[in-house]
Amino acid sequence: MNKSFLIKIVEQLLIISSLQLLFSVYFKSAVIPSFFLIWLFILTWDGNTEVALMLSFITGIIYDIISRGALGTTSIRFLAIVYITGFLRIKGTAGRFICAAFFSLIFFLSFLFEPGKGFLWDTWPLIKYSGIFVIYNGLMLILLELSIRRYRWKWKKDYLGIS
Amino acid sequence: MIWFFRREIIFVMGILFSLFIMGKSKHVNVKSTENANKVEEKLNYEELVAENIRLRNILGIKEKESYFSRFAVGNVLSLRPHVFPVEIVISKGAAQGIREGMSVVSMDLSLVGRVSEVQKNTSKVVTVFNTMSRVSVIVDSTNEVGIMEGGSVPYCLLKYISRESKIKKGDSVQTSGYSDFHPKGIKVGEIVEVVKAQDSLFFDIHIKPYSCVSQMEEVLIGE
Repeated sequence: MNKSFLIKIVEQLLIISSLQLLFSVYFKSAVIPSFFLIWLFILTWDGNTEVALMLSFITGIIYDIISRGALGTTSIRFLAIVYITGFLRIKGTAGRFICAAFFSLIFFLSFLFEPGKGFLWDTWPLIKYSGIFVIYNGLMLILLELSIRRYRWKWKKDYLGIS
Repeated sequence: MIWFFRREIIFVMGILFSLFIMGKSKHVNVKSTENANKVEEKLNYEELVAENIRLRNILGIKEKESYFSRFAVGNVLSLRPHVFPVEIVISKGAAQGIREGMSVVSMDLSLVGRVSEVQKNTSKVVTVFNTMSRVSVIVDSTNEVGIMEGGSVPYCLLKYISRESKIKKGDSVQTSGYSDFHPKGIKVGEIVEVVKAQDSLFFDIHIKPYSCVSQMEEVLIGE
């Protein structure tokens, strides 16, 4: 892992953490998109699964602090999702959107599932709020992917001297 | 060989670290209750002032409402999930006299839920949003008794109120005192919707709980 890559990752972590914090404070909605999860998906699909796994632990802890959850629980969820996603090689935006939506659904439902008791919300609210979460995450994935692609293209253009 | 399984190694190590942090945070919670003064020193000034105001309010409540003077004050340590929590963890446990089934109320004396599991210095609380929650309540305007069930967030469902009832939107609801868990007269919420379900002898009534669980910092626990 070279120095510039590490700096880039730390930069992105700061931006994503700020976005997550800002949304959790100012976004007037019952459900807030998980920027960390989306970012981990993007890192994994870019072939940085090992880095994404390491960051799953860190971002999980930050997520638990922001959302006042029990420390460590989200890390386990992130690690499991990233590990599975690491085996899926998805190139197209549509495929990525579907995959992100599916795992976002699993992520959301995992908070409300109690072994032996089932889901701790009724079916309709469960569908409604998990649906909102999935849509938010899908939209954020597209937005983040587009902005990262644009950033990469700008970097390539500057590096190769394309006018 | 190790390099070939690097992903699995990182995954397992991450899980182990997470489990360690989970165990450690419980330990910290226990410690924080025991050494509250030490923790307070670390908080910044504004946080201290805000906490002071909140605790003074609780003290005011406890002085005004003699019934609640027997209640213990606990901090909310964690929520699950963040939105419409079904379960919260509070900083009071068996060592502080907390027992299973005790009522938990918010600072404005509205019902939050009941204690479901007690550890030495922490307790789990099942909130009114949980599908496992059943509370016997009474409607203030009509004095009718029904059962309030959780699960249908953002509201709770009031059952077994006859279709003949004069119940209406805006009526307030409080605990009836008929259940084993909650004493009579704790504010619960306000009726926001009355639905005449087809082929049913009862109304489907939605109640908006007064307590905003996800914003809570402290709670009162007692019976």
